[in-house]
Amino acid sequence: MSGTIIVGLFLLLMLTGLPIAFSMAIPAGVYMLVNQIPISTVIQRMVTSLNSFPLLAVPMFILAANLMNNSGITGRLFDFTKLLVGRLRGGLAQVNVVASLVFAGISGAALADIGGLGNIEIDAMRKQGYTMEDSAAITAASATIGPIFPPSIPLIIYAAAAETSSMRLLMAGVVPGLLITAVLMIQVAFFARRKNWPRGIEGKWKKGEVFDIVKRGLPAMFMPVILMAGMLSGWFSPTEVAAMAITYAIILSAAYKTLSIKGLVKVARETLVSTASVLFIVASAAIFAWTLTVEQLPQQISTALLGFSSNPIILLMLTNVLLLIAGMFLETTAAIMIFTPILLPTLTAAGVNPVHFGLVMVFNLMIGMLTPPVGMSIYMLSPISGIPVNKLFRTVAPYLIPLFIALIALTYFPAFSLWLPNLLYGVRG
Amino acid sequence: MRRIVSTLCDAFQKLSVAFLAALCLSVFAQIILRNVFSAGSVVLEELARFSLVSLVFLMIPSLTINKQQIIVDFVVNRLPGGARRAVEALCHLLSAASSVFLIFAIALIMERNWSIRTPAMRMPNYLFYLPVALGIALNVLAALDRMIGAFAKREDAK
Repeated sequence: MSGTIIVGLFLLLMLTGLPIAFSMAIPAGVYMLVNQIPISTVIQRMVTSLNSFPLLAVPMFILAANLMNNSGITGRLFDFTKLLVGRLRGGLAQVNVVASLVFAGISGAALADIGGLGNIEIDAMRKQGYTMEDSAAITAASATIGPIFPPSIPLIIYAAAAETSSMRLLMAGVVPGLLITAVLMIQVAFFARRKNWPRGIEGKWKKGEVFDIVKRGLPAMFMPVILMAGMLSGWFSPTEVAAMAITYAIILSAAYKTLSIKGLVKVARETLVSTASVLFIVASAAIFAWTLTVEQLPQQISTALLGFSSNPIILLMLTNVLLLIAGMFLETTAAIMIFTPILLPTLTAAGVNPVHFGLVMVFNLMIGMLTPPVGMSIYMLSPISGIPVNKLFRTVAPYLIPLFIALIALTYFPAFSLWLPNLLYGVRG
Repeated sequence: MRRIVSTLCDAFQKLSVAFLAALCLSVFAQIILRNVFSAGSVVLEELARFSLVSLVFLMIPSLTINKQQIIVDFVVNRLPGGARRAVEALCHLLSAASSVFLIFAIALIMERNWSIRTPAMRMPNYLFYLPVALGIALNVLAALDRMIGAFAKREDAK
């Protein structure tokens, strides 16, 4: 049973609607039976893959984001960002982008951004006369910042799969996160002129209004500051930063009197669903990737790619195309777990830094969340906005242009991702 | 069968909430121990990792019964009603069969290594794997229940 058959069986099972985790576990199990490998290896590898300290950050960051959403803290963040960029033309569209950056500093997942901020952003934009299509498209596009700017759940999962430093990876996301924000803001400014979008805030502030917004929003704005400071200073590991985020979110919720014990249990249950659905895939992908390694599929792909070219620029271009296509069909976690062991050895052999490649991979897959047929962000935004999925895919399309520009910059200028981690922790090959 | 599975899923979910709390408190306690008392605890770290493994596997049947597993359904959704239900039923059967396979794999580990203890908490293997086995075992029932539901054209909770 070759690696190609294993991958083919996985794709077939996945397309029948079998849960992705089982779609990966079944070919691995069949492979072991056929090759008379002890089947206890299956469950041992699944459990070992989850028995990891870095992965503890995943449920904790999800919990922190859910706490912020359910306590109304997200709304305060949105109001605060209005102060920063609301006066620009197309102010609320700009606020949408900047609020996603701030929320990215707390949550680390695109879907958490859409779930938490989506309603607030779309409602506010609709009230100012934006079309539902424009409001939803900007919300979807700006959600791609979440998994790039630290903390980031996909980057933590990549770090586990690539066995590389999660701290370096998270820090590597800072500049790219700011870059994506900048290109989206330029695109929004362009549309604001062309479509004559209003300023977010007209006229003068009422007496005490600014003070009130600052008072309401500033403690919430401290959350990303605390997380970044904790990581930059080296006081906390990403996992410990996640614990601090939860503690701070609970303190804020208690101070704002917005969270009850019943609410806390509801938030915990939501967290469990998101965590288990993602990490069950991680567990199954561990055994799936192991069978591919035993079958030497990564080596075969490496030989084929390096035979074609050993130029890192060409290899990265091929990888971009492959990952963009993969992102159109595969769920992010599954794609990371499958493609990391396959592509990373080839790219590192060609001189690509694994931290740089992690950023490139995750951003490719995030763009895939906005494209058909498996655009998870679009599927989540469709019921919120009431726009059919097919129409929403078309509406988001113009925002892919700045995202592609950012992708090209991130891919071919490694300094965007490597400058900060190299500055903080020294240069590493 | 649906009522039994739902009750057990609910119980497992409550247990998972407890594991999530244990996970968060363990990591938080470690931060306090390290930064305030300059001491670390391998027991707390192992407890946190055990909690993560346990909560993921205990939640699997809930994901199955509530249609919360991550799937790719754009192909199946294009099939006519009868064919779609048949494919769905087949998928649930495959989920149940692979869960049985995983239980068998756990049984093989336990046969030889049931008493081996974890390094820090000294927890025997059978206890470490208990939540894993329970979650997968209940998933067999959950998947079979969904399979019956697909044949009976039952509308499941989403």
